[in-house]
Amino acid sequence: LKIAEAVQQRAWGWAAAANLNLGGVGAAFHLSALIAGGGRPDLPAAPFLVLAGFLLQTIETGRPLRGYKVLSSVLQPDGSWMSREVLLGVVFVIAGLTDWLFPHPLLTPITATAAAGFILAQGLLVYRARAVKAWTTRTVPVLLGSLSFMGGSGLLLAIGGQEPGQIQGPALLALIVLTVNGTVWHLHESTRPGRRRSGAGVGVWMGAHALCGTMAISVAALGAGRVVELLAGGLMIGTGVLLKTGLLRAGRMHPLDLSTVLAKRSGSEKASPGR
Amino acid sequence: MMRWAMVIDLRQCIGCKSCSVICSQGNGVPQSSWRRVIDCGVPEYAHRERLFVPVHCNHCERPPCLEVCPTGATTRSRDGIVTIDQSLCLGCGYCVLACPYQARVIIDREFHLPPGAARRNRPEDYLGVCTKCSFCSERVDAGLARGLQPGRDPEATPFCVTTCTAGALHFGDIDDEEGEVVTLVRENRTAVLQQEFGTGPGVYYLVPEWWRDFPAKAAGGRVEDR
Repeated sequence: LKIAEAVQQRAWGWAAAANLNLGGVGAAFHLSALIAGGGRPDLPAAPFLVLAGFLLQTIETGRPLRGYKVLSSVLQPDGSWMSREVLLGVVFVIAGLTDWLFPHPLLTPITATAAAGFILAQGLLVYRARAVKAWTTRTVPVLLGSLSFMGGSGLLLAIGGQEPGQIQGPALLALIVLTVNGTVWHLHESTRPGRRRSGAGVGVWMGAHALCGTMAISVAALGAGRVVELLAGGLMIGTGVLLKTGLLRAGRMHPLDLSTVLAKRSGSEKASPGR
Repeated sequence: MMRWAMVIDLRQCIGCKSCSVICSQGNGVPQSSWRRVIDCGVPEYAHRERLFVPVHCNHCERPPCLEVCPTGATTRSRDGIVTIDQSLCLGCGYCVLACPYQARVIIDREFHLPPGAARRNRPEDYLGVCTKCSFCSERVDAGLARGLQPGRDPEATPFCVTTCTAGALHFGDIDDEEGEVVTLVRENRTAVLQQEFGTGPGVYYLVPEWWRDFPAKAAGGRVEDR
């Protein structure tokens, strides 16, 4: 018997969405630059984006000055993914800024590992919020990761800097990310329980992907100019951020259901508490 | 092993909410933050049976809130009671989203307690942090230390149980095979909330024979005027 309807979650608002977006885009931007550009980005934008996400999150946190306590359970095997996310984010920020100020070959793998772990931790953090139905689908961590890469590779594409005639790594990466994201999103939408499709939402999503893809192809294959790069990159960032924010803000708590565990027994046939 | 549990007899509950009021008064928390009573509505039955479901923390055997808490503020004691250390809580809201019972709230605005309410904790200590039912663990522990038996002796029993006007609430050790709560669960039609989550809840509901026929349109936690 359903005794209370599903209600929209109110614990995480726009600040949490901003944190997940900024952090995800920052870490994915760093990794995208390593993959498509062959080295770390020239600008320290990635650590600053992650840091900005953390700072924004404190607005929504009840007691932000206790933030350091988040690391208290980080080494426990059954510890919280929020602790792991914060630890990996802090390592990424410190290593990323140090690498920018005092470049050292050892810092590159440390920063890359922290960035990858940070994106994974963000996905699993949301997935472990068990009371929110839409977040507990198995595709959610992968979907959130691919949305982070959509923003990160979009930022790389928007920044540009490739010489005409070179292989356009950022554009090729953007195409791959768009394909992966489209596949994961389709998988997510077709498997999640109680799905409600919005015709307009699907139309916007498909249109944005198609437009981004066309522009990325024109950059990669035809060497289209900076304006197209900027447009394609901006659209990818915007689409990724909108989709991730929508997923987070639209989460609804499970309805409260009462169900029988033990029927009344008679005589010697008795049940024991269902434990 | 001992594990405290509560049995709520929905056949007896009249929805007076005295449990929620005394919970707020006794523990010094905003009303309905630790305990709320859901009115499942007025069906169009000839006999117009009503169903009220008190909802609060289920003190699970495998609490989903415990594994997400990043600061260790949420703990589960050896007697099965899940508590929050307010001084450690960050107010991040993660546990609110992990609890399938919607039993946790973040106090995000100032509140005032009525005269006579408990003053053990200052209201400002709750501001910005998560709070929930503690099964009155301090009261239970203090009673045990005095040699009292929780569930039988009022001074060692949660406020809500001692105040229930309809005698619908029962508290005791679910591992005590001869105890009252085990007997009630054994001998009656028993239900739990959110069974699909497999959390091993410590709150059991004794349901009336007609409960499955309770019309869906009356459910949903609404009160409809007719």
